Amino acid sequence: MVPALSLIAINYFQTVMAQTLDNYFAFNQAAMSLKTERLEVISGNIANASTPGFKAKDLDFASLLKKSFGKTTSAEFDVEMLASHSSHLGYSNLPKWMNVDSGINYTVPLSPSLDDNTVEIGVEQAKYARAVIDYQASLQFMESKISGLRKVLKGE
Amino acid sequence: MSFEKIMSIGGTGLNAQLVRMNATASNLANAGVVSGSEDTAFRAQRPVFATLLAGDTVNENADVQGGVRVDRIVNDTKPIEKIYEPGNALADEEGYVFSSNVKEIEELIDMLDASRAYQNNVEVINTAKDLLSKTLDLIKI
Repeated sequence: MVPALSLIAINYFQTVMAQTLDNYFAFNQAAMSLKTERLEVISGNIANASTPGFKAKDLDFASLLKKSFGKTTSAEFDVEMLASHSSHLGYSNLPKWMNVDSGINYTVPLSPSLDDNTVEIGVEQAKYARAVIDYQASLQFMESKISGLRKVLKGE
Repeated sequence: MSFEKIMSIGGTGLNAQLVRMNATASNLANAGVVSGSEDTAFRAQRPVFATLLAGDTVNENADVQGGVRVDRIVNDTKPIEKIYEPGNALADEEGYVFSSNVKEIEELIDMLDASRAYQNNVEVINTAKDLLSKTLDLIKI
């Protein structure tokens, strides 16, 4: 009887529990990988701060997170967002050749420069700092989720 | 892992700015060079950067994707100064030597800009490194 029971338990864990864990971490996982992607885009802007003609880019976080969750019915994802910042071009204003599907928008510079480079290093540094803090916030949530799960498993 | 990408993008930035600082150092070292003709006079060297789009690599062997690369190095087009110095061993038959078109102050400002840009990229790499190690710490919780 006992081995059969433990087999059932293992089966249960593999099917139900693993799925539950996946769901448990899914949101944070999607958020964190998107936030790393944003850091990547901004680091590309900083590396190209002295490249003539380079156009600074940024990620539209909200729409990407929404997309990475697919068509979800929960109310928190029903908000429609065209641009996350007043200096971002909304999708509706973008010319056709820009790949709007990637969720990467071109930023509009505060003051244009002679060599057509739209990277403003101060702005990029601030954005990078903000993105780092956003990532750390996700990290904190992940940490507390993991430690909470541990507490449950240990039965403390 | 995406953090490695961030670090490699920062690395391409460091590399490009280093080329720029090298060019500035060479320009400053050659600032006082005079020459016997206008064609051979030293002209300041300027690296021109170009964007590496996602998927592009510095060369076919590198696995670094995206970032910035040095596209080419061009001569500064500022006019060469003609100085009347008949006693100079390099003077042409009319007694003129041709000095380089390097302007020290411009070079120093360029150096300053390059070093600031370099520091920015170092900061990007450092922060990415910190975040990566914090993320790896998740398994310790």
